Amino acid sequence: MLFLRLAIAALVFAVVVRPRVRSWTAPAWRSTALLGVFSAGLNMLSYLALSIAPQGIVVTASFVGPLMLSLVQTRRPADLLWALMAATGVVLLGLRAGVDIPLPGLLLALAAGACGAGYIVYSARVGTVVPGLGGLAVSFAVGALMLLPFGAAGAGEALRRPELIPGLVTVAALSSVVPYALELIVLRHLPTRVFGVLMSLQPAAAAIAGLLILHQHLEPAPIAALVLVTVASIGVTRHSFREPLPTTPSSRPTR
Amino acid sequence: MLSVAAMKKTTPALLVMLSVACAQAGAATARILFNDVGPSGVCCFCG
Repeated sequence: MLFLRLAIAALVFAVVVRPRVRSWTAPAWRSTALLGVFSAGLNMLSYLALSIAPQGIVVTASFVGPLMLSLVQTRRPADLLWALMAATGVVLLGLRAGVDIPLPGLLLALAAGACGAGYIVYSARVGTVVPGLGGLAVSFAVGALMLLPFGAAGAGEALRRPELIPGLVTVAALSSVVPYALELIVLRHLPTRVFGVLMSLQPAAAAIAGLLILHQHLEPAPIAALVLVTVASIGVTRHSFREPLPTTPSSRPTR
Repeated sequence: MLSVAAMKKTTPALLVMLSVACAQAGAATARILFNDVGPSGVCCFCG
């Protein structure tokens, strides 16, 4: 499923964007390849972690990377406050009393988080060195190639059933094409430290979706976590544009 | 009415939210159509 998702996304970007790769510089190739490696690593390590550890723990641990990135790049006390607030919210959402945490699962999830941080850094870099969304076509192709040895058999089986293809394309569009494109665009205008905090909205959105769509009950701790993550996201967004906005791609040294 | 400055401030955050919502919709679709429970599954924290 993951291999097909990345392969379909690569195909969609190649057809729709038609990147002019002949004009790319060496840094452009290097950045897009590393973006593909980190994206595939993030997804694959998360799936591996999920096979041996509870989902809440995996998602929580995988947000350590992006939030650490925010903390490392923090310049002001306010940024530190928002990152710590978001981290507290994510931990409150994911950790539950009495849940056993297998160490290999935790390590895999932390490795996924490190890939998540790499994804943010290189998504921003690709947005700077490659015009438009062309970089994503190559990144997804690199990611799909990395996962080919693990996904080829399952993909062959799925592609022999043409009735599955519309569903696969829908999943690839919703899970990969649209989010990665939007995030690349956002990272052209937003510092990576701010983006790392905003990413903490993802587990919060999952909890809200569970509440609204599946009518699942939320305990006080997750509600407090949602408030923390939301306040941190609003806070970091309000403060992020007090600095002058960058005007040209080459004037963004912080990414 | 939103000022240009306010729009500049909020648009990236709104795009991130749209991205998160799309990823959640994709996870839900994968779960419904293919029983695939990915890392951003809709009910991550709900048992």
